[in-house]
Amino acid sequence: MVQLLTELIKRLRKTSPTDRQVLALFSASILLLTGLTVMWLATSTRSAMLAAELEMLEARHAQLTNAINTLWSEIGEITSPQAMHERARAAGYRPAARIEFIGTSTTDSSEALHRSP
Amino acid sequence: MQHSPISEARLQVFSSTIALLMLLAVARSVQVQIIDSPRYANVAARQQLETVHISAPRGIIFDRRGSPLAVSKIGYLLRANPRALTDVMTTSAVIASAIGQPAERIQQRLEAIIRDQGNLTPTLSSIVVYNLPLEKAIDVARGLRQSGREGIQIEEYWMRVYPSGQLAGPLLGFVNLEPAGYVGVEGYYNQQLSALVGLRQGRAKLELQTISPSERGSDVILTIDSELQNFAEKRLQRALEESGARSGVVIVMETTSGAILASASAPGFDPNRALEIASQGGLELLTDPAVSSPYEPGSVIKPMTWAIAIDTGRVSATSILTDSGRLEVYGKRIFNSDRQTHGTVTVEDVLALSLNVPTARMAMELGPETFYAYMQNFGFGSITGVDLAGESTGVLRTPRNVEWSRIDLATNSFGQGLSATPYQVLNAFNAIANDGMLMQPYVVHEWRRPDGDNIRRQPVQARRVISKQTARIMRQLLAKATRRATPEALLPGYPVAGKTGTANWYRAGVKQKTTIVTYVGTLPADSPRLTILVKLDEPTVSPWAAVTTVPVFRDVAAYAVRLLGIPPQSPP
Repeated sequence: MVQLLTELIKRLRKTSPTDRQVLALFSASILLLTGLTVMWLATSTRSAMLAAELEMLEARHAQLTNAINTLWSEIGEITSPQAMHERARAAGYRPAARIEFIGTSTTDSSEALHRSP
Repeated sequence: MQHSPISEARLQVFSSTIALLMLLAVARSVQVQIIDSPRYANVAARQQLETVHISAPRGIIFDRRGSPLAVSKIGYLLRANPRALTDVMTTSAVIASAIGQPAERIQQRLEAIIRDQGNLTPTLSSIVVYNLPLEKAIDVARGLRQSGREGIQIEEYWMRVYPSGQLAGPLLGFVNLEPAGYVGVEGYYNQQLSALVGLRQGRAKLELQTISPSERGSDVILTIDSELQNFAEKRLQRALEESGARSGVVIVMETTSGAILASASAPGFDPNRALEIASQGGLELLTDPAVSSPYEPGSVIKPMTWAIAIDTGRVSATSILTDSGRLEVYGKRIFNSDRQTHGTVTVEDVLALSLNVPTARMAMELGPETFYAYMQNFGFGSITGVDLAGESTGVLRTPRNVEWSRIDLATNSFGQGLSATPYQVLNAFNAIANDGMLMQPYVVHEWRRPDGDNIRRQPVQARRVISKQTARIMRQLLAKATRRATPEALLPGYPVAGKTGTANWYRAGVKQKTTIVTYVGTLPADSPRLTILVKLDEPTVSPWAAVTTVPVFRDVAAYAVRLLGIPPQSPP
């Protein structure tokens, strides 16, 4: 490989300066083109990867939203008055026959607090 | 070599033609490349662009305690492609066995779709089945693949689920497959609840794509208390069974704010089954009569008439009136409902005995201008502004209407010849309960945007209808009248100010023997916290409101004061 390159350089030295310039220009163009192609491929690959990741995240987001909403739906079923009543009755609870209200006065209690040692 | 003159001329013609063609080509290329370039670029982009819609769920509807009443979950639907359907019988059998429905039903649906698609303007949706869970959708896909049948497409979408079933169905409304909300909260708040559909656009995945993100809809929190709603619905259902009534409404309103705590309509509907009901032709069942069905309210309007009389200084709480038992207005005779003459009476007597004649006479004294100005201020003839879709204005004819006659003034005073929705009647009565201030009723008190912003609604005072003093006098009179006329409405420790109303039922404009009965009341009468309306249509056991609606009022009121912790005003 090294011999081949050495031979190539030797031959190039023997050619006219105009030919060398043409060749240099041609080589530079090829290099630039290759560089651009590599850059385009890298960007495209990155875009494709991002697009795939985005799709995956969207799907995951939809799954999670669905999981959250399914849980809300289950909470809704469990906390619906009908279900709550059935469970409360099964647990032995009954509606109170009578509710007692105790009259309180905030002024009295604050005074009482002040009076307490 | 010599050129002939003809050939020289030919050459010139040929050259000119070539030059002209070249000019045309250049001109055309300038047109395509420069002038029309944006249009062609646009068409090309459209051909090459791939657009993906990114859906998101509708917002959740919660009750005031945070219990979810409407949620969106991922569901699946089956769509038929009639051109690709080859074996309807086998396809129906495969779908039916996967989803557990009769094959005949699926087959009928597929055949109907095929027939309809053959028409010039197809009207039938190509959806065969909807609201399928993931497992069933997988079963269908597997079955169709194994049988090698084509023409059925499985689509994913956000389906609406109402976890509490029929609870508050008419109030919540329903959602179609689009999804767009109809009736009630779903209809009124469709814009807020709806999700923003996102888009992803690009020519290929190897290129950068334009993305507009999707956004879920806002959640809304209702003023409705599920516990109270459940009780109101059950009690209303029991009332229908006991009274033989065809339908009914119970509404509980927080007096000072106008917040609706419960709004029950029977027969209601399960919003989970709304599309099925609609497809079976029951679209008229998918409404909320509390807000969209005006009726002739009857004597529950009398408190408003007497409030006007007191507010304008025509009478006072102690005024003595004369009841002649009969009044003739422009050839029409008006009687009291008991057909009796009561002689000297007070306003309290008029309210307790629900006398039509002194009420009509008072309206005539007030005059149409004053009476209708007040009635319009009470909200009759216009919507209450409650945030529920499909609200009706009812009908209040005034002297400006050509159909109006002076007899209307007399009959309107006791609630006949006009129509109002249960919400209008409740809201007008609530103005008396709320020291003369008319509130705008509401069912949503907050909505939460997906970006975390919370928008909380404040109670809206619509306008002052009567003075505070008049409202207090009216409550005292109504409380005394309630103790005398409908003691069944009273709760130990909670004075009630209420009024019954009975009106005839009309079918296709013809008066029927059956009635519509209403009771509207507020408690505690001294400083009201709750205003409740109960309405029953065509009860068969009794035509009177006192027998049919008052017990419902009492039970709902007793449950509400307990649930909301409203202490009694006096030791029971």
